[in-house]
Amino acid sequence: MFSFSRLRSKRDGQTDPKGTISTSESENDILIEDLNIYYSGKKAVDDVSMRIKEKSVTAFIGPSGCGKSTLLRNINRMNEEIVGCTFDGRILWMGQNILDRKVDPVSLRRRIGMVFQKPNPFPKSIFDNIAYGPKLLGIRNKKELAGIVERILKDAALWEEVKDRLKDPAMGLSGGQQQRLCIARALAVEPDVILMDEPCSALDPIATAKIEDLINELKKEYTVVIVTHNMQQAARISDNTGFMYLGKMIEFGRTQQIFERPKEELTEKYIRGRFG
Amino acid sequence: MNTGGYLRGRRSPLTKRVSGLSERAVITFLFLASSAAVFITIAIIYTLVEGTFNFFSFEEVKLFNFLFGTGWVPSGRDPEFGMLPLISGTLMVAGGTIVIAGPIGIGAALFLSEYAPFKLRTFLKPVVELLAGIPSIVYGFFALFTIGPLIRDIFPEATYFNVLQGVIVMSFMVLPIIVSISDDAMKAVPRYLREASLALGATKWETSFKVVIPAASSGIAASILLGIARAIGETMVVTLAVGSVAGFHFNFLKEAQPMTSYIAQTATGDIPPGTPAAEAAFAVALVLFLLTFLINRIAGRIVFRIKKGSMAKREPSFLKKKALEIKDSILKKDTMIEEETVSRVIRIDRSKRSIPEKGQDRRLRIRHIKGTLGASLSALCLVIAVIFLIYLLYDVFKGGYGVISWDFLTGEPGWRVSELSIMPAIMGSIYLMLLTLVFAVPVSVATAIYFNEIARDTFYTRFIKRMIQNLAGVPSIVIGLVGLTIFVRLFDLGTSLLAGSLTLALMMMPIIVVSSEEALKAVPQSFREAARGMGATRWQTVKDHVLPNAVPGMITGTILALSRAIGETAPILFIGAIFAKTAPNGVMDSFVALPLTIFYWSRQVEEYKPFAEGTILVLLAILLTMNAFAIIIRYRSQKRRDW
Repeated sequence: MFSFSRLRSKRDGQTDPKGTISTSESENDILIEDLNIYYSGKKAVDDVSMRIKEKSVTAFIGPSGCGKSTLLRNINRMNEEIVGCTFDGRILWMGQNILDRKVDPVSLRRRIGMVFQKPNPFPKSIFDNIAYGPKLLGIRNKKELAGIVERILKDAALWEEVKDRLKDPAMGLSGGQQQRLCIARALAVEPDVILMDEPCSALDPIATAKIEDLINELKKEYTVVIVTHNMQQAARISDNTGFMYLGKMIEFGRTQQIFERPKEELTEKYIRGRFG
Repeated sequence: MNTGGYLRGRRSPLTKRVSGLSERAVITFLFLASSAAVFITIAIIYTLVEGTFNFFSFEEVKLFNFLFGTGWVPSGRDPEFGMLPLISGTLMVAGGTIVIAGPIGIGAALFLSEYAPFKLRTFLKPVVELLAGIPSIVYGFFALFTIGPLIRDIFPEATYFNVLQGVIVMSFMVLPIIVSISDDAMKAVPRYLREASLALGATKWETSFKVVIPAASSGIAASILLGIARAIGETMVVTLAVGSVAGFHFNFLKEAQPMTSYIAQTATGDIPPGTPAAEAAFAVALVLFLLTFLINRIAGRIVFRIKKGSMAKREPSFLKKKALEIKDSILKKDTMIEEETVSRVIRIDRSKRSIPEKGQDRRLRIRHIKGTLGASLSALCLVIAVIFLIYLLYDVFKGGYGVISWDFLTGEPGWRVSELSIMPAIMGSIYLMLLTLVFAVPVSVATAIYFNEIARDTFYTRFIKRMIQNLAGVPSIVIGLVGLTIFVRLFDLGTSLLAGSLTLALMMMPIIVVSSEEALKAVPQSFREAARGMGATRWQTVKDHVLPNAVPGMITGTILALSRAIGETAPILFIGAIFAKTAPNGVMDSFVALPLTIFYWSRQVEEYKPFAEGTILVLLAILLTMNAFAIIIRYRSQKRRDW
């Protein structure tokens, strides 16, 4: 387990005394600029601009329907799969506007993986679930695939539990195991960013704790963006937090600051649970 | 002051049953009607078993030879009754049909389910279903006169009757079954599985091909099975186009005789009744019945599972779960929850990369090209189906519209080609349809009401429901034999309009039951609860609140079923007459019908062909009108309804 306090102090070292986000900028940060998202013309995300720092955990919180999932789904352009969803604005990453038509969503999604609210393993074996992505990318050698599956399952802290039943259907796993399998599956294509859309909402507290541990470990190597309706979870695992309301990013800053000294009245109301 | 309400005097004691005699009478009637399926099933089994028994009581017939003999020469001095030639004929037709219709159907379903935008889909699906609405006699005609010459051009060694032309046309006949059930199965694959695949960087084609199709595989398998069952049971196409000389071979360019074709031959040929050759039809029909029953049963179970939605998240089957448990207990592992505490998060080291970055760009281009190819191919499948439909309609129209005249439609026919008229056939078909309506609708609607509104889920109701499902899959030529045995011979109705319409009613009953049940199910449960909550009895609830809202749906379903009945040839093949100078005057008169007329004229000399085409045009026009009515009724009731 990781010491929560140690992490926090380390993070504090990166920020300046005022509590604003560190100004050190990297090309690997995800820079969202003036992003608007519409469902059949109706605005769901309203003029959001923000910088998501690499190798950190960024959480989006807010009441249901505030647009946090919609915003998340735009980062790997999953919104394009929804009929009637349109967007404008820019998301800069690795020196490119990834919303540009010239950027291929297929290769983008390989670099920016996603984990969904409901565990959604394919109705295949555990092995085939993990191997699906690498196979798409042209790895056919059985031995090589077996090596990848083992390494990835170890990364996702699932190996010990499933190593004797890799050929069994993934649907036979418990909910928490299924969700870690889905995280593992996302890791198997070696992305740089992992988007998580309320990954623990369907899980029990024990399973949730395991996923949070995993997220803590993941952020050393990956940029993690997580949507959660659970404020405690955001406080526990994230470095930066954005509060959204009615499609607008009301406040975005260091997690500690958002939860302890929110600048906006709306944020404070929400944090304190005094919300319409 | 008057404190009593206006209903005060009408209060009845709580112990008194409100549902009086009439209520119980109605429910008894509904119950009896629902048992009709049992009688139909008994009639089928009686017909087939009795006929088969008669067949085997002839001394020249041996069971072993019947099952394994390779010669089928039913008449003549030295008759042989070896079924294998008939089986090989059926196998060729069904197998060939599936080889063509399977890939095209799955491709078209994939396009409809995954690629077609909503508007295109709502336009294309009815077009494909239109293929199912065209009577089989029209397909047979098209196979013999349009596809046939084409095949003989390409393969000069092909005979006039051959398997291939039947197979090609039959493929498009079964296509709607495959497309619509596969499409349902693919649509039932949950969205989150597609998203999981796309989010991993799969292309749309990869997602469709590697996730959607495997997840829908059992539904696709069911659609193929139902397609096979339909091809095995289909009569008119094979009778017209595949041939009537049995031969044990697997040459698609030669003539063959499938089982249904032999049964039809006993109705039309010169086989005298009471001979082994005639009784053989019953034995063949029994084999056919069992075969289609088996296939439909298997497919039906799968489709039922899809409709219930258990395909969405496919849990391992019970046996598999047990196997897993045993495996776990051998490995000395306990429940999953405890297992979860086993693993620890270990340090993630991303420096160990396995996927080479080199060459990924080129690979991606190839993947996209594959995707475009795949999507175009699946679109092509649909285009082929639509082109076939348009060509068929165009071809019939081109050939037929020239002969349509007032005399042709209303005149009194003579025997010469110049004096042909279809007036008796039109009238025969209309009377047939009206009588079928009278016989089939009350019983079917009552059955549907009984199952959906009155009966509880008991062993008996499940048994009957399954029976009705099975009846829907009985090949039409088998129903024809049942009509012959039960109505014509047992009830001594002769080859009359009455016997013909009763036979068609047998055929239509399961269809009308199913569509009426759907109409009843569409009425919201809250309507029933509201009525029952005010103290209405079950029948009052149905009569006043459920039925009025279900009637438009029932009418639509009934019209569609009747439009099928009017196009059916095989069930009335044994009963209808070849020629009639006038329209039937009473229910005991003999009759001709439009599809029968097409059938007989297709087997005459070439001069009759345009007249057959003209008759097809008239038949299609009637069908189209009926379908248009059904659609208008559905549209208007949907527009008017406020729930």
